[in-house]
Amino acid sequence: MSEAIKKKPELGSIKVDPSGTVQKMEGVNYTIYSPRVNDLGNLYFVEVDSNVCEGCGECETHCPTGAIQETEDGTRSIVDPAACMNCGQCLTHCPYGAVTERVSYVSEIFEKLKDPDTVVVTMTAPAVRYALGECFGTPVGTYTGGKMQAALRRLGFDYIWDNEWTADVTIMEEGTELLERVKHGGKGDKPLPQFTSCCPGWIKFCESFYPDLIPHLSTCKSPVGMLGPLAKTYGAEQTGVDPKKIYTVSIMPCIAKKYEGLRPEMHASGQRDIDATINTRELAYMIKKAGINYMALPDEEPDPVLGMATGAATIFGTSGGVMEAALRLAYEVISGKTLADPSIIAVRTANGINKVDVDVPGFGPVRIAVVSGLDNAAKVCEEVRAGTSNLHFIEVMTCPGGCVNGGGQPVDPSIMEASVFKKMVAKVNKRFNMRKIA
Amino acid sequence: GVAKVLDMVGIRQNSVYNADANSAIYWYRKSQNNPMVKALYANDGFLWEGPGGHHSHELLHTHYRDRSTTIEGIDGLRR
Repeated sequence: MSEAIKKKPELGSIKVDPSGTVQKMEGVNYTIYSPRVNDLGNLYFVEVDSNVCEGCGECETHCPTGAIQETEDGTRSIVDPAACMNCGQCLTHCPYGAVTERVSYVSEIFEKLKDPDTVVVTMTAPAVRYALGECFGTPVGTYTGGKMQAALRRLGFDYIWDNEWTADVTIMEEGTELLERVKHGGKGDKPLPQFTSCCPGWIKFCESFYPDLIPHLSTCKSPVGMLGPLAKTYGAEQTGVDPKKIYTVSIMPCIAKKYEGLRPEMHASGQRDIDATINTRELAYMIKKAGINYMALPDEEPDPVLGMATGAATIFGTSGGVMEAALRLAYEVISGKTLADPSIIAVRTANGINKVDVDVPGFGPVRIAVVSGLDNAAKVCEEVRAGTSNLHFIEVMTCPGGCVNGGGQPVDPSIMEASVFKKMVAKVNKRFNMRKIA
Repeated sequence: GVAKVLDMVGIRQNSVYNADANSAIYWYRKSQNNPMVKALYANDGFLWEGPGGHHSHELLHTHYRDRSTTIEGIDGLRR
């Protein structure tokens, strides 16, 4: 590796918070804590701070499983980590900032970036680049992908690899799996419909509430589940780096990806495939802490071999995107024809359930559904369980609208600015509830 | 609050589709046309067996486990 690549920025002067510290990042409190695979059992990824909770109950309306419940004093708490899908919709909708994150690898990542013997690589999800700019004052939704890659390089990451590349790989693997299931008529242990498997909240939900539908889940790992092991095998081979020296950082719009990264089975490379997971807010914090002037950065590209991507990959960041990307492949493989216009607008989905028949020459209608929100996913699961679904392929995302609305994204400032009236009502309710138990 | 958040989500979603259709950001729009995906699956590539091959299954596919017992007996869950 050349000296130019190995040259680290002035990270030495950065004071790193010790484990157990609570650090506010983009308005959200995080506990600095880097769990290992064996810690996964009873780990809380989000928790309600009962000292800050006003008992308004907004979080309950966004919790897809009922894991967040009222306690004796009127505040809310998560009853059991097994019941929490780690989506963080409670956190992004709390008007009081009372929901906190309990896992943050930020300090460990700074230490690895400072260490000249560790080769630190990025694995960044599509949706991050559509929201990170908001932390630096851009209008909502501004694409700053080029600046994001530049900032990661300035932070001292050795290779800028990207989950958009493995989103394209995911389409090749998951599309091929779908075509196999269709070819065999959904018989045996590979039934139809096939469900997507990119979203970690959905996967835990299916395993917990609909385990009988596990054979319907695509066996494909998510894009980051693929990039971790490819980084430490193919990436190591391509760069001539000892895989034991590689430290992979998953950068996500999500909280549940922290759970996914810790799954025991994520060691296909012979090491831990995913060493650390952070989200968009934590990345913004790191960029600011390193003193990088984000908006002044030039646009840069990822390192191509495990970084180059297509438009089909970037749309993974929105509900309907995985489906559209898969159809762009399936159409051409099944029909043998070129899909003239890659935009398949009918499958694009703001929220809820969207069922569409997509006509493919030489096959007929490919019957698909795009679902976001686990309440909606449950409705579709009930149909599949009852045997009344005639669909081929179903995309499920836990967060309404998909990953751009993930629990790790910058929080809408208008939600944090709860109105005076709302705050007053919440206080009265809290006092009333407290009297009830007295 | 909710309408405002959906606005924010819709704006971010539109931005995603605009980037997909912008050839200055993404030269290709289909995964199968990505040169670095083609290189991965090439006859002399790392995953030379192609998508769904033996090596893919070892690295890129997974299995799931029934977690229904972990939520048994927790009161108040919605389903």
